[in-house]
Amino acid sequence: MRALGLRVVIFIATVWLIVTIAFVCVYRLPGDPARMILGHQASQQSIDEFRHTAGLDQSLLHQYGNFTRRAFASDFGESLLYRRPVAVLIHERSRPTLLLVASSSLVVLFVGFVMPILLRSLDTPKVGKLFHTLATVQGITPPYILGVVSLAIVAGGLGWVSVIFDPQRLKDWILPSAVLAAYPASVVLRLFDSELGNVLHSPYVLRARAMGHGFGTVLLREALPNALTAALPALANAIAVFVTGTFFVEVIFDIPGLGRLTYEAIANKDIALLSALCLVFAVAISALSTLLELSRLMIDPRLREHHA
Amino acid sequence: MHKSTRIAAVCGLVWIASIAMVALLASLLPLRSPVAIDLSHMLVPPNAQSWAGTDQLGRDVLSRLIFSARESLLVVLGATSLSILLGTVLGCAAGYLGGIADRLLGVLIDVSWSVPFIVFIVLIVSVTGVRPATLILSIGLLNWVTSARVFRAQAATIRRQDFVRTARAYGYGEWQIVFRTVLPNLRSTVLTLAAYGAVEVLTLETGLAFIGLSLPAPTPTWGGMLADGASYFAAAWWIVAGATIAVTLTLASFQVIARRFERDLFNQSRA
Repeated sequence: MRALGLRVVIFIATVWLIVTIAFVCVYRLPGDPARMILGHQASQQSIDEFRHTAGLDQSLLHQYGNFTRRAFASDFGESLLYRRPVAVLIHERSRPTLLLVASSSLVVLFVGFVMPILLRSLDTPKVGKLFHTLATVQGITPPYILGVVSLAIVAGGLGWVSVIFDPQRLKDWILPSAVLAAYPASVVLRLFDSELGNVLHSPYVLRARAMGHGFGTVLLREALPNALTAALPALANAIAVFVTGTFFVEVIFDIPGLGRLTYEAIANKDIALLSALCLVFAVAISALSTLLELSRLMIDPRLREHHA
Repeated sequence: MHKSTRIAAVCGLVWIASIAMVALLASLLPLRSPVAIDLSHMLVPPNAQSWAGTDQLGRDVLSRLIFSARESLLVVLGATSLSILLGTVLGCAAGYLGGIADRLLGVLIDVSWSVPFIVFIVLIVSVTGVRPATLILSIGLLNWVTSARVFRAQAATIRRQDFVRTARAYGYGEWQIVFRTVLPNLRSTVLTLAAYGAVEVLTLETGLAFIGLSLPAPTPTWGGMLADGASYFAAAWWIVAGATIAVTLTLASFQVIARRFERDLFNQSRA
C-alpha cells in the first residue's frame, strides 16, 4: 500500500513539474508571450488588453500561480487558429487518438507478448530469428519513414486501402495502428522473448517439468511472471516514443486526432493550443508510466517488499 | 558474428564519412543550388542531369539531400557532443565523488526520467524558432540523462579499482587520477553512447522537421523533404525514396557503429 501511495505522490509531483515547465516554455523563453499567443497581426491595443487579462503586467509569481490554477482547471484559453476554447477542441479531437492508441496497444500486446509465447511453445527457432531480425530493422526505422513508405506501398502501389482515411472504415485503422505499434512492439518482442528463453531454460522450470507439470501450466505459473517483470521496464522506455508517434502517424494518415491538431498548431504558431497539447501529451505519458509501474508492483512481490 | 559486426561498422563509418565530406564540400561540387526554382522542370524523374530527379518546384533533389545533410549532421554532432559532455562531467563527478553530489544527481536523473521532456522540445522549438543552435541546445540538454546514468555507475566501479588506489598511493592529485585513470577507461563507453545518441538525435531532428519544425522554408531538411514528398508521392516517388534512403542509411550506420563499440565494451568487461 505504501509503495502504491508513493507512486501516486510521484505522479502528482510530476504533473506539477510538467505544468511548471510548460509555464517556463511559454512565459520565460525569449519572445513576447502576448504576441505569440495572439499572433503577428494582432493590434497593439489587443495586445495590451491581453497582457492585462492574462496578468502579464503582474509579478512573475502571480503569473505562475494563475497559469497553474488554470492548467489544473483545464482552462487553456482560446485557440488563435480556431477561435474556440482549447479545452473543447482537445476534447473533440481526442477520440481518434484514443482509438488509435488502443488499437496499437492491441498490436503491441499481440506481437510483443503473445507471439513470443506461441513461438516458444511451438519451438521453431527459425521463425523466432526472422522476427528478431525484423524487430531490429524496425528499431532503426522511425515511425515517419515507416508510415510514409508503408502508406505509399499499400495504398499507392498495391491499392489495398484508400489514401484518404475514413474513421468509419475498419480497414483504414490497420496500417496506422501497425505503424504506431512497430517500435514499442519490436522493443518488447526482443526483450520478452529473450527473457522467456532464459526463464524456460532455468532450473526451476526444469524441476517443474520433471515433476510432471505440463508445458502450459509451467509457462503460466513459473515462466510468465518472471519474464514479464524483466520485460516491463523496457516497455516504460518505449511509452514516450509510442505516444509521440501519434504526431507522425496522424499526420501521415490524416487522422483528425490530437497529433494532427498539434501539427496544425505548429504550422499556425498557435501557442495557446500547442502548450495545452504538450501538457496533455506529457501528462498522458507520465500517467501511462505510472500505470506500468503500478502493474509491475502488482506482478513483482519483490518490489513491494523492498518499499515496505 | 564478430567479423560481420566489424564489417558492418566499417561500412557505416564509410557512409557517414562520405556524406560528411560531400556535405562539407557541397558548395564546391558541381551541384545545382538546392533552392533554385525551375518551373519548367517540375517533378522530373531521375535522369542524367538531375540524378535524383526534381521536386514540385523543379529543385534538384540530390542537391537538396546533400545540403540537408549539412544541417542534420551539424545538429547530430552538436547535440550528441553536448549531451555526452554533460553526461560525462556530471556522471563522473557523481560516481567518483559519491556522497551528496551522487545523491543530488540521482534526484536530478529521477526527475528527468519521469518528465517527458521530448514533448516540450516541440514547444520550446516552436516558441524560440527553429535554428541549429536551438535544436542542439534543446536536444542536447534533453539527452544527457542516459549517459550520465551509465557514467555514474562506471565511475563508481572504477573508483574502487586497484589502479586508482595505486595512483593515489603514488601521490597523484584527484584531478590527475580522473584524467589519467578514470577517463581513459571510459573511452569505449563514450563512443558507444555517442553512436547510440546520434541515432536518437537524428531520429528526433528529422521527426521535428517532418511535423513542420524544420529550418525556415527554402532551406532543405530530410524531414521536410520526406513530408513534402509524401504529398507528391503518386506523381514523384523519388523525393520520398531519396529522403528515406538518406535517413535510413545514416541511422543504420550510426547503429552498426554503436554495436561495434558495444562489443568492445562487452569484451572489456569480460576480460
